[in-house]
Amino acid sequence: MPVYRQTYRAYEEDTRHHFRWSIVTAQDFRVLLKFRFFYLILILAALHLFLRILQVMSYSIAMQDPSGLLAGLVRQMGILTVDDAFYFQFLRLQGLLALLTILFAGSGAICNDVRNNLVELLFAKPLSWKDYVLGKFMTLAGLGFLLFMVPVVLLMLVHGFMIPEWETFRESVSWILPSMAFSLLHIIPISLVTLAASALLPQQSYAGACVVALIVLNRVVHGMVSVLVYTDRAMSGYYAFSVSTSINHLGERLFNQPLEHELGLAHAVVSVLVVSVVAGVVYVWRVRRCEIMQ
Amino acid sequence: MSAIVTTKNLSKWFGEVIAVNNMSVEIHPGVTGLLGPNGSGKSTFLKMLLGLCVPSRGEVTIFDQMPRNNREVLRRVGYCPETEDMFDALTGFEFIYWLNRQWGMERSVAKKRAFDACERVGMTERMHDRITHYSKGMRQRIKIGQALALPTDLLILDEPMSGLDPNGREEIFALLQSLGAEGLTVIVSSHILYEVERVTDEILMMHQGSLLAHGHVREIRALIDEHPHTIIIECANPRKWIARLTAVPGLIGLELTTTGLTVRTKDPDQCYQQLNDGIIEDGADITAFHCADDNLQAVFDYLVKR
Repeated sequence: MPVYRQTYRAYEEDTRHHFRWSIVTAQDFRVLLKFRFFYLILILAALHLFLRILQVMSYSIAMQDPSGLLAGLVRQMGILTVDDAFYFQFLRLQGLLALLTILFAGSGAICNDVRNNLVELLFAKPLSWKDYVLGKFMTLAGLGFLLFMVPVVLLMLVHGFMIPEWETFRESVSWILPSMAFSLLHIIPISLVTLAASALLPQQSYAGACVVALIVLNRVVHGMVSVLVYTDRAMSGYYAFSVSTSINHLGERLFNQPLEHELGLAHAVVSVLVVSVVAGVVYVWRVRRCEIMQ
Repeated sequence: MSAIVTTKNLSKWFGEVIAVNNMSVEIHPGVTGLLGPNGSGKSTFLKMLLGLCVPSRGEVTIFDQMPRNNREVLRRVGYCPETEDMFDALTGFEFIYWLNRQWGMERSVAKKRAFDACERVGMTERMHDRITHYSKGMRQRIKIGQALALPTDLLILDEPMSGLDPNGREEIFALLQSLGAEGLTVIVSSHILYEVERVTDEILMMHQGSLLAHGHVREIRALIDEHPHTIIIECANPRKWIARLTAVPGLIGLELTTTGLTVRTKDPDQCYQQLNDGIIEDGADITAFHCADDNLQAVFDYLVKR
């Protein structure tokens, strides 16, 4: 019998084999909770949610008497109405907070691990690069969902509680899928771009600055395309070069909102897909390079 | 006895720089010291053992399997890297706890083992402080602790003594010796010969990426037969011993010292025999004699000069 079979201290307890990525995610969340800035973002998100809840409650109270003066006033003002536009605008604003959070949590996700030699230690353990890649992504996706979907569901619950009718329930259900899709449209590209920047650059600040620069560049592209489209409307497809415009455009379509730009659906989808795939490939390629010295 | 680690013609080069050159070794249970000056390729060699570095040529097997991305193998290997930077945002205890979790332990087991590991490396009092507040020695202890927390059969420690105070070194020396005695396979790298000498006689010597020697210090010394052995004799009357030892075959030189005599010989067995005979016949005015060449530094110097 080989000596190494006679292990010097047997391990009798259970060993986790599945969902190993979730440990990476859990550790990242534990680390994030140590930063005040993270709490600040959460407080801002909670404040926004609180204001929206007040809006839903006011609207619901006003609508309890649809022919009343208050209901008429709310209908006239429009801005207080709880409908597709309400959720679309809520998610757009929430998108800014999600961007901040993902930037904060994601820009150091890989480079800090590399700088602190944690990558070396992790890959010397029975943890695969797939677990690591998925775990890091799920941290950002989880944060995104915390900021997008949890408040949306909460708003729907408040709405349903205030107006407990079948019609309210039906409306709420019809908003869930667009909300989820619009959330994913924000979360996936931003997370992957941030992780790719973090994997490519040596420091958290560089990675954060790089993502901000890309967002600014996106707005510049949008401005340039606007000038082109102003002179030639046939060039409106070029708006797809601005990913943020594409995301917004898809959001407008999902929530049946008036379209701000004459951008084709396929153009917008391809724009978001290309950015996500390129960022994802860079992210995975860099992690694999960190995992094993060639 | 089965070898735990086997490498065959293992080589690694980075462009034109050869980091590891044609290393073929077998490492058995017990403590093995990996010795070599800075830049000799020790860390690259260890990373290749763990599958963290792709060999340019050759192969590695641990427990008869390839280590690269092999969960079965990596579950049984503990690794303490050389680098000083660590994850500052966590406490020492959390650091070990999360690495235990990444290994696959359940929450309660990971906590218990993290606590035990902190205790084993003498960090119980400070384990809940953030790593950023630790001294270099404390970081080193935590790094060793995370490797010890795992139920491994093979421990790979890259320069574990660096940054430790004398007391810490003594504790780690004792710990490594006890782990070796328990049957664990431990590979300890160092560029300081004294450190390795304190924990083991079994050494692998590397120089400029190549394996210079492998085996027991004395076996290695015996290989260098063209080089004289030095025997230090502590005695009250050295002149009496000079007369006796000049007749020994293979004698190269004798030197009087303040405490006795230093003998340089190519045939140490004859010299020891003469000393033993002398003690029996003339009484024991010799208080001690030992071979200076058992010291690793001497062996290393000889081999590098070759």
